[in-house]
Parts: sequence; structure tokens; C-alpha cells
Amino acid sequence: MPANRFLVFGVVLILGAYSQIVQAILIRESLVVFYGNEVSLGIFFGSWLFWVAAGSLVALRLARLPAFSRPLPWLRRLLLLLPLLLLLQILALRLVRLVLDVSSSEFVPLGELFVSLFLINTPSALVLGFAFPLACRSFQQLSNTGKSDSVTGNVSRLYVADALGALFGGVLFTFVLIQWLGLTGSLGTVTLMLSAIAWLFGEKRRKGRLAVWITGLIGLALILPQSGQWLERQLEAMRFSTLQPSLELVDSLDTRYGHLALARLGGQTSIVLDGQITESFPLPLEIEQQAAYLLSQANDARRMLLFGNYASGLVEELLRYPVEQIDLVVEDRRAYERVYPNLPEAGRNALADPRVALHFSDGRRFVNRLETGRTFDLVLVLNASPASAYSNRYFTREFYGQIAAHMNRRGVLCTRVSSASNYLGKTVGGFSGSVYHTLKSLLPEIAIVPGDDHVYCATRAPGRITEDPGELERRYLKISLDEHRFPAMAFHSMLPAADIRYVRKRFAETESEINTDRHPITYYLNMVLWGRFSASEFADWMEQLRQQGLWPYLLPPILFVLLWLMRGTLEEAARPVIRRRAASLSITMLGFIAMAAQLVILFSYQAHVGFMFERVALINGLFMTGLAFGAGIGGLLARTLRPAPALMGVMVLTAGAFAAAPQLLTLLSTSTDLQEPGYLAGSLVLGLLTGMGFPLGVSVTQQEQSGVVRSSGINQLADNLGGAAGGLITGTLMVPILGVDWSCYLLSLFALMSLLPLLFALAAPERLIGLNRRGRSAFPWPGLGWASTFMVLWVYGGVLLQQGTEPAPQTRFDDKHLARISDSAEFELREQPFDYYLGSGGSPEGETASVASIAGAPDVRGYAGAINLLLSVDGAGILRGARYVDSNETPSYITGIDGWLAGLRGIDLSAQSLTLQRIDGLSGATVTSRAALEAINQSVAAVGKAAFDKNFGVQGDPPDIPGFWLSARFIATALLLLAFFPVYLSGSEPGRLALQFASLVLLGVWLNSLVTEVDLVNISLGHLSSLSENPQRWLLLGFVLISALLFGQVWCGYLCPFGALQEFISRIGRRLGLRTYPGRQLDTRLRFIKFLLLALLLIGVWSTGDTSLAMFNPMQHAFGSRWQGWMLGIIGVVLIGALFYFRFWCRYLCPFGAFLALSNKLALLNRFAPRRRFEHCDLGVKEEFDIDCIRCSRCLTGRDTHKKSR
Amino acid sequence: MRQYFRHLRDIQLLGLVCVTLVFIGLFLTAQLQQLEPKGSGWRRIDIELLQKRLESGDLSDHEAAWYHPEIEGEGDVRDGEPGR
Repeated sequence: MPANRFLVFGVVLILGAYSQIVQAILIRESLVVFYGNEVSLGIFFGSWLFWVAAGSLVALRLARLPAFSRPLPWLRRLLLLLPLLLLLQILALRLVRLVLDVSSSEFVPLGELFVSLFLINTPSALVLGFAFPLACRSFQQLSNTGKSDSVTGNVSRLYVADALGALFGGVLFTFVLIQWLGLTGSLGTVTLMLSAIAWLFGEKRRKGRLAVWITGLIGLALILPQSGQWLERQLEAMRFSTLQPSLELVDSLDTRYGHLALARLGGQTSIVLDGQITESFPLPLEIEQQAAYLLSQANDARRMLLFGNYASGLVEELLRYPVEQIDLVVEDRRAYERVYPNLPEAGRNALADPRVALHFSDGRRFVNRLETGRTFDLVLVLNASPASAYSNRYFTREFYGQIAAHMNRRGVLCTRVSSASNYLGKTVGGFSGSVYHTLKSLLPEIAIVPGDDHVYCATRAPGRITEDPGELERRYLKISLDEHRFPAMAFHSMLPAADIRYVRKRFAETESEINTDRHPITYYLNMVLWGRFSASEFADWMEQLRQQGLWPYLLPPILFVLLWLMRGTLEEAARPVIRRRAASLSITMLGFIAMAAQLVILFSYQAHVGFMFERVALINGLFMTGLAFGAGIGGLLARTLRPAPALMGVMVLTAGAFAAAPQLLTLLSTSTDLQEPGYLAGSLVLGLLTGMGFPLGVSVTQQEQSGVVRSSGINQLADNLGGAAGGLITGTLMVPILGVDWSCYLLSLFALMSLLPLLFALAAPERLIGLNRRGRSAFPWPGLGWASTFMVLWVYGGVLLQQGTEPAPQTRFDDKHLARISDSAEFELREQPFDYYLGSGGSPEGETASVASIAGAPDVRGYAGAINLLLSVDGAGILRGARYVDSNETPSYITGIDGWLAGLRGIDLSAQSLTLQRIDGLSGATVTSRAALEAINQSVAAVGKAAFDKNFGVQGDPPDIPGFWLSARFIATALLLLAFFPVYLSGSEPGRLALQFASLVLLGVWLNSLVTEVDLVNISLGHLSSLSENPQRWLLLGFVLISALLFGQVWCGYLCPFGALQEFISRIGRRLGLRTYPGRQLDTRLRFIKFLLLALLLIGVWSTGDTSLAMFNPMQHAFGSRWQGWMLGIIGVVLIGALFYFRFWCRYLCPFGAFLALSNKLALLNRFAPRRRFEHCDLGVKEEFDIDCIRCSRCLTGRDTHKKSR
Repeated sequence: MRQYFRHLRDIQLLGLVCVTLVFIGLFLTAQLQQLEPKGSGWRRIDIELLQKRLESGDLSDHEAAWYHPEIEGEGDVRDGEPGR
């Protein structure tokens, strides 16, 4: 059949359906392999959309090639390739735990989860992303109208086809394929579909026809029961062997909640849900103990409500007690019917007992629908674990509230959560503590059974429950039973008083939040817990984010919008270009919000309704349908209204919708019947809102008809990149950490923020846009420059946020550490006037006083800020010991500090303080040594007064800095800097050379006092020595910064000692005829490297905290005689390079020079400087605010410049 | 690409820049390795020392705290802190 537009439309429709089906299959696979943790959703969608965007980008790039001038054959090949890719991806997911070497019962570390999903998603997503622009191109070729407005229409039509296909795929998968055909049947069906549509293209070549037939036959084979089910069994066995390798798989099925397997080991059978064992049977002793404990706590319970736990034998055991009715809630009937035949006979009989009422319903839904007045004496929730948003629902305040409403006055609720038997650290304590505190907020009386799993029994009635094993023993023995099988003495070992006291103490000390449906903190803490167990740094990072509140999410978009506006103001760009960029940004933001909205809905649906596993394809399909309808409305708006203002209107509407979303979700949660339809409708509406923006954005960004691929590719790229970011950030961070409500508010804010670039593009005055004299770029890739600026500012913002949440310096220590430095045995903490410890016993020398120097001497500063030492002094003023605790000093300078401090032990401080005259300092770290000694002196004096009422040390010792303001160092530096002004303003070349020589000798050779990247980093982190400690440094830093602001990069041109050294070498090189000039294009590009080095250096230091990453500049070592190792090589190459290229290091590689170069854009007093003669410049500087002018001023005379030899 | 390398001096400059960058990378790598604390990485249990401490009774006190006494107060060295 010859290709026509309808066929292409059909292809896109089928691809849309296929995309939904693939996503649903892979999401379900991910949930099983990663133990049902919904954070895999965010990672999945984020990576999926990223690769779709990458595919679009590849299509954009390849569109210009002749091979892609006819896109239809390529589309056909892709259709046949897709099913094979999907099969490979399924195999990869099923084997991922094996490849990552993750044991059974262990969670995959979050970082590895991210990387594996990111890579596994690549094939299908990349191909699908590639296909859409190709389809657009085919459609346009077949349309052949040649009109530019048809571009918008064609792309929109195909967008609608894609979205309708997604709905079709979602419905087909949810209600037909997976229900009736299973996984392999579904795979076979889509394979057949794709091969059928490929056949319709009418491939003429035999090879092509053969490929279609083979693919079709494979599809058929997968559908046929014999082959399809055989393959399904093999795939299931493969996956199960990686989840629970020691168990023998008996049966498996997909329920609406997840994947359930029944497995055996010896005489024991286990139910495995999403890879984790939830129940095992028979466990008679454990069940006996459980029932005895629970019914001793609720000793007259007659009516019970039990969630799950039907297989363990608990029902059978409970029926031995005098109960009237047990309401047993089982979530999935199909699962129950598959497990039931495998139960022991006694268990089956118990379930058939007339006192047991079986309810097949979701647990939350069951409780929601309970009639008012229906009450229970005992409610048991023993099978769930808050390891996923789905099961976290049974640990929330809302759930406990609903249960409490159906408990009688003396009713008891018992639940179980994993914990630790010996030590509750901050994370484990926070995790189990959050359940404890959530329960306690409604049912204040709680009895704890400690152990690897905690059991909490809670009630409103005081005295109803007890932790006294003797009392429980008495209650148990009073219960009317045929046989008291359980040895009641065992209550004593179940409830050790010391353990319970310890657990309560830890819960009281550990901060815990209340777990709610919309803020599932326990689920989040479970992720952090597993992150810690798997030594994942991601867990630490998530905790930091949590402490920083909303700012980590607000900072990037605020920075982005500000930089965007700055770029629009400074760069030379026509208004249509700015409008296009603004529209692309809006589409990106809409993509972000769309994906974020989808994840909010999915999480919220899972928390309230619970079976997202079954409905994910439908929810996504409805969302895509909303997108289609929205695209239709958007297309209409694009034709009838001005698209840019209409796009702004859509953003405002979206912002309003998200601001109102939490209230709507609250409304939904009150009605069980409205919940599911409400969520499905919400999915549709959100898709509609965000879909409206796409055609409006296309309309603004389109160029001309030949740009159809480019236009569609750009917009799909923007949409998908935004979606990737939205999926990743919302699914992995925002919803788990902030909860649903705050995620919605943030999304609303993001929508409003994206209005600013549009407003600017439409309404900014021309003279503002023309403010480009200073902004004119002097090097290529301005996009990379702005992106680097964004990254640097973002990372710095993160550092500031982190500093704001850093814990206070340590002033309290445990006995072990105190004993080590003081030799005392017992310690008493005193808190006034500061934290210190009075030590006694141990040593015959009497009492000691131990203190952290940060407490006793808070104002002492080292080179980079405060230093914290732990020290101890006795009543006679003898220093018993000193230990390094913490500081920001450069690590390489203080590696020997512990040994140095150990050498101070035994020194008498009663009459004389420590000084560098008395003690040798740390080698090469005079400032640090001085600060450490001063910290000891002041701390000893302070604690001596507080503890012993004695005055140690000589008060008011003069510092051993020799009259710092009058030091030769300070005066010489001041004179040198003062000399700069007349030399600079005069424009004298001999004067400049003389000044450079003086700087080389003074600052370089004599003082070795240069301003470098290390200073930049220290200033940024607030790590500075005090003014009185090092005034010469402050003078230099102040001069560099102020002169840069006023005159530009004059430090480099006039005073930098290393620059001076290079200049002299360069001049020698010119005299020797060695100097040369590279081609202008290469020169321009290479000069950009220093800016990249600066960005990388700052990002590296700020994100790792390691200042040694800033120490590669040869000027930091050249004058300190540290010419060794690789630094010798760097210095050698740089100086040799200076012979051939003027100031080689400065021009191409100096990060500090790059930082100062930014000031060339300011140079506020530039008009007072000597007028530069750009025609003489041999370095390519052409204008007043050129970023690369190092202010060498050689252009004033032109004597050293040489423009001829190029 | 050809337009960037019209002259040998262009290759010379590029070579110098690349060599410098390589040296910088090597310098930073060496720097970071130097700063790693000694003895970091995999640790081995000193069996001899452990044996010595066991025999001297140094560790027995700690172990006893892990078990719950049958008689209240027996061997209860630490108050309310199991397993420490």
C-alpha cells in the first residue's frame, strides 16, 4: 500500500499506544525488582523522557543528512526493531539484581537503582523519541502544501494522534492485555500490531518483507498459549531466582497491587509480594507467642479486625481463644484463591470457620466503608511494612484515625514495624519512631515489644495495656483456653525492662514526624534507612535536602529565570529570537509540570486507592488523552489568538490549578466512591491544561515550512527534557520529602516563574534589550558560558543552604574521649558559663577541667576560620592533653597536628601562656599554629576560672605578631599598592614594568603572598583569618576586589607576581624571535578554557569541601619553592609556553584570571583610565568591555605588540 | 577542524595547553591520594590482638551486657543500654 498521510497518522497512533504499553510493562517490572518502592517511578519517568528527548535531538541533527530525506523506510525499520528492544529490556530488568550483586532481602541502593533504570530505559525511549520527528517530516512531505501555518497544524495533528494512541494503549493494556494475555501475550500482541502496520507500508524489497513476516511470526508465537506461557514461566523463574534464590518457586501471579509469588523452602511456604517475603507458614511457635501476647494485652477482646495475615496460621490460633468474630480483610481475591490450596488443612478449616468473616477489599477502602457504630475490641495490622507508598498507607495518621473511630472505648490496635534489637541510631530510631509517634498522637497509651521488629499495642484507655510481663502472664493464664500452650514465663524474655526503657528514651530523644497520607515521612525514612544500610551517599544527601526545606527546589528555577533575563538583556538578540527562547522555556516548564503532576497523581492514588500497579497504564493513558484534547484547544487558540499571550494565560491557569490541587485532594480523600473516578478525571484535566501549551509554543517557535522537523524536534525536546527533570525531581525528591501538598504549591510557583521570560519577551522596552554594550560576547558558545554560570551559582547556593543547616560545633564528648585526654575516670558536665567537664578519680593529680576550645575561646581564628580542639587542664595549671576536633584549615597544612598537640601534654600553663617563642609551630602553618596556641591559652584561662577559680596564663599577653600594623610586610605591600595608582593612570610602560618587577620581588620572592583561587574559595565559604591576625592579607584581597570593580582586570596587568614573571619571560621570548601568535579562531576558543577551569574548580571545591582541588595553579607554588612532582611539570610547561605565547598561563588557563576577567564587564571607573588603542592589540581585544583584556596596557605604546606575523 | 590548524604553531599551542591540562589532572590526583588518611580502605581484624583482649577479660564485660539477666540487677553494668 503506498504511503499516505492517514497511514503516517496511524503509525503515530500505534507508536503512541506502544509507548504506553512499554512504559506500563517496564514500570511494573521495576516495581517488582525494586521491592515495590515507588521512587523507581520518578527515576523511570525521568530517564524515559530524557532518552526520548535525546532521540528527538538525534533526529534533529540527522534530518539534514540526505539519508533521512525519505523518512518512511526508517520508520518502518524502527517499528520492527521496537519489540526486540522491549524483550531485551525486560530481560535486563529481571537480571538487574544479579548484575548489581544485590542479595535477597536487600534493597537496591538508590544510586544503583537510578543508573540501572536510566540505562535500561535507553533503547525503547531513544527509538520512540527518534520516531516522532521522522513521522512529522513524512507527514509534511505527504501533505505537500508548502504553507508555514500547515507546520503547526501537522505537528499538532500528530501530537493528537500520539496522545490518542496513548489512551488506546492504556485502556487496552489495563483491561485486556495484562488481564487476559499476561506479559508474553501482551508482548506478542504489540509485536503483531507493529509488524502489521509495517506491512501496510508496502515494502517492495524481499529482505524488508521477510523482516515483517518474521516479526509477525514471533508475535504470534508469543500469543500462543503453549509457547507464550512456557516463555513466561522461564522469565518468571529467572526473575524469582534473583529475588529469593534460596526458595523454590511454586506459583506466581500479578495482582492489582503487585506481583505475588508462592515459594517453598523445606517444609515452609512463603508468600513473596514484589520480591519480599510477607508471610511464611507454618510457624506454630511464633504464632502461638503472637496470639498469646496480643490477647493478653486485649484480654477480653471478642470482636477482632485483622488485615491480611490469613496464611500464617494466626486466624487458626486466635480461634482457640474465646472470640466471637474475626473480620479478616484480604486485599486480592485472586491471590487468596491461588494461595488457599497450599495452606495446611487446619488453616483452611480456620478460614472456613463461621466466626471468620472474609472481606475481599482494599484495607483502607474497607475501613472507609465501615458503618458508623461498628466497633472492634482488637485491630491487628501485622503484615504491612512502610517500604512503599502503597503499604505506608497502613501507618498513617489518617488510617489510625479511621481505625480509632471504630474501636470501642477499651479497644486495642496492634501493629508491627521493623527496627533494631540492640541499638537505635538516629535513622532507625527516626523510622520506627515515626510510627510510634503517629500512633501515639491518637492512641496515647502504647506498649512496646522491643526486638528486630517492634510491636506496638496502643489504646485510649489508661491501664488497658501493660508492659509488665508478670501482669501479662496472669492475664494469659486467666483466659479460658482448652490448653495454655504458650509458656507464659516467656513474656519476661519478650519484654526486658531495660530494653523497653532504652527504646522509650531513644524515641524521646529522636526527632520524629507524624506520618500522613500526603506526607509519607515513614516511607521516606525507610528509603533513607536502606540508603544507610547500603552505604549510599544518596541517603545523606536526601537528609540534607530535607533539612533545607523548600530552598533546594526554589533556588534552581529562580537562578535560571534571573540568568535568562540577564542574558536577554545583555546579549545582542532580536526580539523574535528572545520570544522563541521564552516559548521554548515555557514548553520546558510545562513539560516539567506535566510530568510532576502525573507523579503527584500516581503517588496520591497509591496512597489513597492503592492499586497503582494495575492502573498505571490507564492513568497515564488518560493523562495523554487530556494532552490530546488540550492540544486541540491549544491549536484553536493558536489560530484565533496571539499565541504568546495565550501561552501566558495557560501558565496562569496551570498555576491556579496546582494551587487548588491540595484542597481537591482533601475533598477526594473524604469519599471512597469518588476517589478513583476523581483521580482519573484529575489526570485527564491536568493533561488538558498542560497539553494546551504545546501547540501555542510551536506556533511561537516555528521558523518556516522547511523547519518542520526542527520545529517539532525542538519542541518535543523541550517538552521531554522538562518532563525528564520533572519526573526525576518530583518522584525521587519532592513528593517523598515534601509530601503532595507542598509539591503542588511549588509546581504552581514554577508555572508563575516561567511567565517572567514571556513577559520580558513581549513587553521589555527596546533600550533594555539593547543594553548589550557590556554584554557583547567575546568568545564562542555563549550557551555553555551561561550554563556554567548557572551551575556555579546553583552549587554555591547549595553550599550556603548547607551551611545554614550544619550542626553546631561539637562541645560535648563521651567519657571515653574525655578520659583519654585527662586521665580522669568520672565526668560531670557543667553548662555555665559554657560547656565543660569536671573530671575526678583516675589520676592522683586531682580534678581536671576539659573543654572544647570553640566553647572556651570562640573568637580565635586560624587561617580559614575557627579551630576546635578538645583540651584538659588540672587544678595546678598543667595541660593534661589536647586533641584536634575540627577546623576548616587546608588539610595538607595540618596533617601532623595531632602529634604536635600530643607534644604539649604536661606543659605548665599556670603562670605563662603558650607562644611560638616557647613552642615550635607546625611546619609551614604558622598562622594555624599561632591560632591553636591562642585557642589553648584562652580556653585554659576561661575553664581555669570557671572550674577552679584560678587565673592561668599571663592575662593580656601581647600577641607574638610583631606590631602587625607596623610590620615590614604590611608597609611594603601598602606602598606597592599605592604606587599602582599613579602608574596606571599615567599609562607609562616603563612605570608598569617597574611596578611589575617590584611586585615580583616583594609579593613573590620575599613574601610569597599572592592572591589565588584558594582565597576565592575561602572567601566564598567564610573561612578567613581575622583582620588583626593577618592584615596584609586583608589589604591585598581588598585591593584586588576593589580595583577589579573600578578598573577591571588591572591586578593581572600590573601587580600579579606570576603574571609579571610570565611577562618578562614573554618579552625575552620576543627578543629571541620565539614569540608567535595562533590563529584567531583557535585562540578565541582556547581562551575559554580558563573559565571552564574556574567553574569546575568552584563546583568541585564547593561540592566536595576539599580545598586541595583549588591548588593546581602554579602561582601558588612557584614562589614557595614547591617545585616538585607534577607541579614541577606544570610550572615548566607554563614558563616555556610563556616564551612562545604572551603570558601563556594567564591567557588560556588561569582560573583566578578568569574570575577577575568578569570584572572587565563592570570597570565602573573605566572612563578615568588611560584610553586603550585597540588597533595595537595583538591579543584580539577590540572593544572597551572585552572580557579578555588583561589590562597589560601594551597597546598604549604598541612597542611589545607584533601584529604582522600571523 | 581544518580551519583551526592552519599553522604548525596552532598545533603547538594546542599541544602545550593539552599537556598542561594533563599535568594538572595528574597533580590533582596525586594530591588527593596523598590526603587520604593512612589505613583507609579495607580493614583486617587483628586476630592476635583480639585473642589477647579476650583472654585478658577486656571484652567479656561488654559481652555480658548483651544478655539479659535472669535475676534483676545481676551483671547489669550499664543502665538501660542493651548491646553497648
